Amino acid sequence: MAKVPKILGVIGPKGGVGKTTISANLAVALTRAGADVVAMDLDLGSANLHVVFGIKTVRHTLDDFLVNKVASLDEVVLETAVPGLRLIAGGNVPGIASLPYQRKVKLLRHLRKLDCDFLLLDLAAGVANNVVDFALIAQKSLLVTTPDVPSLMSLYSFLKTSVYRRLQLLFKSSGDAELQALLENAGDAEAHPELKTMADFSRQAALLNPELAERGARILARFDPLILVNRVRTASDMKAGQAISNLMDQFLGLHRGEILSIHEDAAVGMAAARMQPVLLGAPNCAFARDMQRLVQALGVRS
Amino acid sequence: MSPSAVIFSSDQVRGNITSRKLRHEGFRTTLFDRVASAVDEAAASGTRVFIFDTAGAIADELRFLSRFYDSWPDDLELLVVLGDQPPEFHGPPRRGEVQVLPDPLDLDRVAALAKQAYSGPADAAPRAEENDLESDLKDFLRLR
Repeated sequence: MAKVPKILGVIGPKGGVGKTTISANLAVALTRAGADVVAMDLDLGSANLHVVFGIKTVRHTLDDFLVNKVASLDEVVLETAVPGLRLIAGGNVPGIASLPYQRKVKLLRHLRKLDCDFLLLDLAAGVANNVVDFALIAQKSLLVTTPDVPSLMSLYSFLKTSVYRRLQLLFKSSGDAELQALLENAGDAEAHPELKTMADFSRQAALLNPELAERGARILARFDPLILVNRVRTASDMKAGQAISNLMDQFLGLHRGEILSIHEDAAVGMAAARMQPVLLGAPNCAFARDMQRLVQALGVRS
Repeated sequence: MSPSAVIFSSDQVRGNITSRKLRHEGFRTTLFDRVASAVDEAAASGTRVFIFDTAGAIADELRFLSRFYDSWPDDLELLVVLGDQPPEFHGPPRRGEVQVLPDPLDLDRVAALAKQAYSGPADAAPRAEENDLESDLKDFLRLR
């Protein structure tokens, strides 16, 4: 019987925070815990996950599937040198990042049919709807940030966009124009300070449509991301996760979520130069230990 | 002013669930997996509660705890030691109290003790509720 993959979305709203490095090494760490893993490069138009594995020749990429050059997603799955790990490389077809709706639906349908324990999606940077939609279908979102203010701001913006996008889809599909309008107002807190926090919005929404407002609240209550603060060097850096978590709690009504610190480690740069996942060349380094903790935090036991 | 707690745990899973429990109880928490950073923060932040998880802690980290106990920051009211390898402390604490809670992890008990530590008046005024980074983020994101 085919497995149904658990989908993990690795998201780094600000580019250059180490998302792809974490995706590749998390994939390796999961296989070491005995899982079958497919890592998929969804950084459409700017793909490089295969490079981390030193794979130079890619016969078919995800782009070939998206533009109908190949019929099945299985045809673009690559074997890797890591037992239990397969890869779907992305390509660089111009314009592919703006995925039309029908192609997105087709891809989502095929993703769920992949035979593996974990499907790990390495998503693009930014807050475009394509990225947010793929993040929303993931059963677990891993939000990667570095401890600096610009990166944390991007992370917060991504979370806010995701919350609004999810509620917008709910209210639209339910045909409630009043709640859609209220949500739009809440998105502009300067013009509508009475809707500054999600708690403010929920109170107002409950007056208009208590049942739908409650459904929206339940959806948000289930959102349980894992925040990965990458390249942590100092005690001050370690406060970054808590700072963003406090803002999520206070303004977005997201009360769940764990924080993991991933420490700065010279082994990461050396592995990148060798085009090899860190866990293969330096399995006992601090970064590798952090990846093992991440696997544990995902509830995976060897 | 919301109550706060500083937590040290080298086991990030235990640390995170402890932190989350306290946050659900209205605490601001700061979680560390490096002991030096944790004791620095416990001393500098003005918190009344420091939680030290000995699960997975190495001898050096336990020695840090002993030194912390001897120095005992002015604002601290409660030191909670979690896990099955509590270090030996010499004499009673300078002030406040120490609670040792062996495994299994009893989060309700931890939360109850932490709340108790904030039920009485503090000797010194607590420091800022939010750290500088959170304050900067609120400014840049226009969340004020």
